[in-house]
Amino acid sequence: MNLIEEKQLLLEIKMDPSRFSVLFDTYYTQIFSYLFHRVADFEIARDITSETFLRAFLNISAFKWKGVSFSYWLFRIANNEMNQYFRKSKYSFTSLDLLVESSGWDAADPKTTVEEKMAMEKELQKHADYLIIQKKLRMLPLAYQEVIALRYFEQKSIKEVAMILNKREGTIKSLLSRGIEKLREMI
Amino acid sequence: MNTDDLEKKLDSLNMPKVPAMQHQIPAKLAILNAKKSARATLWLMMIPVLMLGSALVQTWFHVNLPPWVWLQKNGQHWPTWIRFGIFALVVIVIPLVVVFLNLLSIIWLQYDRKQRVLHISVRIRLFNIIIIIIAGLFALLFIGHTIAEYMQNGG
Repeated sequence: MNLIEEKQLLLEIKMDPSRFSVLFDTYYTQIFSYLFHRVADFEIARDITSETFLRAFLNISAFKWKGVSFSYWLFRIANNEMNQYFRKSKYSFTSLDLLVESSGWDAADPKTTVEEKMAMEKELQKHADYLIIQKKLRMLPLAYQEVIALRYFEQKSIKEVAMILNKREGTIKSLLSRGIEKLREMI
Repeated sequence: MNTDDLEKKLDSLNMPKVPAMQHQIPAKLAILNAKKSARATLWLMMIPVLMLGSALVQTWFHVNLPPWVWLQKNGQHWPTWIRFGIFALVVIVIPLVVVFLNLLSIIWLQYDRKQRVLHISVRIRLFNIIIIIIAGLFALLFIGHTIAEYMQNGG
């Protein structure tokens, strides 16, 4: 989806909220992938991704088009949710749980979820190098974790990382450099 | 390992691939219905309920209450088609709109173009279902009444 189509879609969503499903389908895998790479846990990544999209859906009227991809906003929400998850020892997926309970939809299709979880666990086992780095990365302060994960796990440019985290490019560069140094000391 | 080596290693790190998935569909349905509510249609349903309620109170207890009294007083001077139009709007059209809006909020349709399959999901939400039944019965009762009256008058 290009920026013009995205802008048009955002206008349509304000008139018809069900059009949000197009954004959901377009970006779900990207956001899930980022969160999965951060936590290396299928269920946590799935739940935080759902929370991310729920927050985006409920706050979409506050989103202001600035000529950049909507995905940056989603990444920022995902990042905030992820940070909350790391900060709180008992992160609860309250809003989604309540929503699913009140709406009557099942939280997930158990058969599909189990199959996909097993497939992702198998996939994880094939990437020993990544698992070592991911474990060490989680021991770093969150400010370093997020820049390293976005830059190297998701292959985002410095400019994109700066836009997602709403920080200056210079700040991102210095966070990256210090983060990598700390990571090297651990490895 | 020095910092440059680690940077190179990170740059060429082989990441676990995440394929397109299906597990998110129920969560998507829950999220997309987060804003839908049956409350708005309850207000809409108040119009025919008040109208019918005030008419019944007048018939049974001889107490004159608006909006029925107001309609009786002013309606005498209106042409038949306007009176029939208001009757149809209040007791048939509004309840049907309520049924339609509540059905929209519990039914989710999604067309899968690739597989050419139309997915229909119905959310079991008691609040909406009760409103659908009441409004549906209301509309059916008066549609039946209108048809019966029409036939009684010989078409």
